[in-house]
Amino acid sequence: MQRDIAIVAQAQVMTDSIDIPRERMLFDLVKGLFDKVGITRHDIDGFVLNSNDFEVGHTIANVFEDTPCGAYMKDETHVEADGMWAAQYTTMRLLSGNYDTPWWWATAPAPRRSAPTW
Amino acid sequence: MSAQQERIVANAVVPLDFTYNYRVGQYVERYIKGLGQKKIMGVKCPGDASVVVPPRKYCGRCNEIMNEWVEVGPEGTIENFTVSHVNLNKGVVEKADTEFVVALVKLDGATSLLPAMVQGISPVDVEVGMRVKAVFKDPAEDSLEDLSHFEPAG
Repeated sequence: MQRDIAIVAQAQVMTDSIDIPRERMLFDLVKGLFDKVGITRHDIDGFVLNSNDFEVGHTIANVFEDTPCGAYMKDETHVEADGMWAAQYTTMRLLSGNYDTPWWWATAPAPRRSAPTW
Repeated sequence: MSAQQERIVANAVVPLDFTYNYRVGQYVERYIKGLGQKKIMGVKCPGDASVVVPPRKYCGRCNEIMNEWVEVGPEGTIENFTVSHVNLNKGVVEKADTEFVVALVKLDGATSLLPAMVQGISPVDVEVGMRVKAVFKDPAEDSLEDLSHFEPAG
């Protein structure tokens, strides 16, 4: 199946402060993008999250991430690996025809800081 | 079954005995400090006005940051409950000395439910809709246990 798709927006957020938890970074990133594009979380029909258990420091690394990224009670799935895998997962979801507006979130390794929870 | 394969017939009970130390974050830290002053603090969502206890930073429904702190309780209403006859001791289920009540309490002013022990009443007398009040540890220990349990109000 072939589909024409568009990347509507992308952004990244970084911090050197240990006082800013990853959930706050995630919230600012996603809410900022939603506001920039002029949509809400209800316009997204599937969330693909990506994060790394070893980096976060506990299993099910996305356990506190679905809420700040707007995926609360939404169709949401998680890849515990690198971001490229999540990108392919998102692509597969698009190709399936079941999703039109997926959201893909990925973390890059950031070994200089451990990640406190919210 | 081939000669190389063996059936495993033995069981091993391995109690889980470890400490998991993690940072609770700014919101739960403030909640715990409030418990030390015999106050139960929640946060209110600017979107749907829900008040959640223990406090969370983000409202999932509204995608908003909840930043208005409000004091709730210390009294509340039992919304649901169960009677437990067992304790979990280092991963092993043990029969409890006496059965005890774990209830979902809707604190006055809150919209969320807080799971908590209810003491000072026989489990057979506990009812949904019953009024209860919080009992705090004194002196406080700066932990979630500072909200010790609930007991019948009035």
